[in-house]
Amino acid sequence: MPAFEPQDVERRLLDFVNSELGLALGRPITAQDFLDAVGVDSLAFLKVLLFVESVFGFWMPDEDLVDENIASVEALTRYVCKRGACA
Amino acid sequence: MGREVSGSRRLPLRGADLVLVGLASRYGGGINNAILVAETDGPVDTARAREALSRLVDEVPWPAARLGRPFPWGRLRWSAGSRRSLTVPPLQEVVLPADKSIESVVENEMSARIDPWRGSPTRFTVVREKHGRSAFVMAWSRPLMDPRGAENVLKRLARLDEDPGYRFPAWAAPKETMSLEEWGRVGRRARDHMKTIVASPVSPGRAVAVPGRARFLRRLFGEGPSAGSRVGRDVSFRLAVTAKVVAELFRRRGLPEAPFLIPLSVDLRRRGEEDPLFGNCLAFHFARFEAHETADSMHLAGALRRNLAYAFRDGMIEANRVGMEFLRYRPIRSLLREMVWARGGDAFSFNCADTGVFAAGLHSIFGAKLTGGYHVPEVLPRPGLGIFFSRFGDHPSVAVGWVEGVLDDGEAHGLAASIGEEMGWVPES
Repeated sequence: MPAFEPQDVERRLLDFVNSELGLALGRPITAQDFLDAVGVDSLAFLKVLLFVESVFGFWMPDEDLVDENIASVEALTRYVCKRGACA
Repeated sequence: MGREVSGSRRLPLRGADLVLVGLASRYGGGINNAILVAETDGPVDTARAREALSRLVDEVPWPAARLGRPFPWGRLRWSAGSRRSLTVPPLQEVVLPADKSIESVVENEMSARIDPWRGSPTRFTVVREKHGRSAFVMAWSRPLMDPRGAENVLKRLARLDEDPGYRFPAWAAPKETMSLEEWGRVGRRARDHMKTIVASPVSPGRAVAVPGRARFLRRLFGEGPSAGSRVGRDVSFRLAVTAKVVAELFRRRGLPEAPFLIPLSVDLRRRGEEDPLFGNCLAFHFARFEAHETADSMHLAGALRRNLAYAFRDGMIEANRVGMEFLRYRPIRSLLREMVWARGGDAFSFNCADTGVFAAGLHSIFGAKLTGGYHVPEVLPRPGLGIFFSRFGDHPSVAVGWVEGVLDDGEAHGLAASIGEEMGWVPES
């Protein structure tokens, strides 16, 4: 699995969230937006988990599904890097 | 009081509608009433509500498009006269005596069958308790609308009331991107999948098939210390927790340990949109697991989550949507042949639903401030048990619906309390 720069992780996650989740916020989602608040419900979040698995190579375990790790794209980026995806 | 509606568009029906219609037919005209309750700080202005309902049938294309369509339902009877002429749905005002509560009105609404072939598919009630609470209750025939669709109707009624000049934006159903051949391939795959997962009977079978009056209770909770965990907000976890509590109940009842089969509905609307889709926009994922797997909720939730995620990845959700759409093109008789699980008289093990935040963005209706809101679970013919999770602000709630005889009051209270406890919520009065 290639090592990513943190900015690259964030960009990929943002691209995915903005293009694939069918959100209708009227503006692009930013890294700081709370995913719950912009309409990412538990089913939409499953798609994020699948994306993380396919691009960064791991399935997020249940115990890591806490706000600290997944509240926003910024938090998710930190978590993905912590899991060893970043250079 | 007929009204001519122009410019109506035909919106898609979902095959899931027909599954429910098929079930109703199978059980000799079962009740498919679905209900939402909007709690307010005072009685809503009935005249304003009536005017908004009137404008709804006048100005919103959905009711005419949906109800004017004869296939495959046959002619529905919201129309007073011609197909394009709709009557305003009934709205009643109820002031309760001191010994009656809003819940008693809800139970009446559950049991008084809405028959869209003979009357309005929706009805509304303004309820006021003698000393205290008020509510606006909406009941509808389930196949016409899913709960989120009903919330959208509520929000649109509020919009019509608040903004007399508001014009609804034009909307058309998205174009189908698959070829007919692709549809056929995917639809057959879903049908085969359904036959696989329902090859054997699902719990609890005939042992609890007791036709009777629909009952209901709701318990309100506050967030507990685990509020920061995504797991607790996840539909898979809620289903696992509910399955655990229901499995314990079935075990206490001495019912045979059959596999569980639960339909998980997937809302196909775009997230976060103030959506014009009032109707039924659900696809289904079918969760199947053994009774002994319910002992460890976290483990079962993880397995269900992964299973659901892979169903998305592998196109199974889409396939099931298409599979359900296929059913709609068949006569009801052949529909029942496809619904292999219903042949033995069982539908699903129980009904479990969750819409997240109740009518997000809605703060008042017809001059009254919204103070709470929840959905009442449908009570499918068999086994006659439903659980619905709702949330208003920081307050999650659990509503249990059952057919009299399936549970007693103590068991229903115990069910709601155990679910709240497993969720880590704090009971509120």
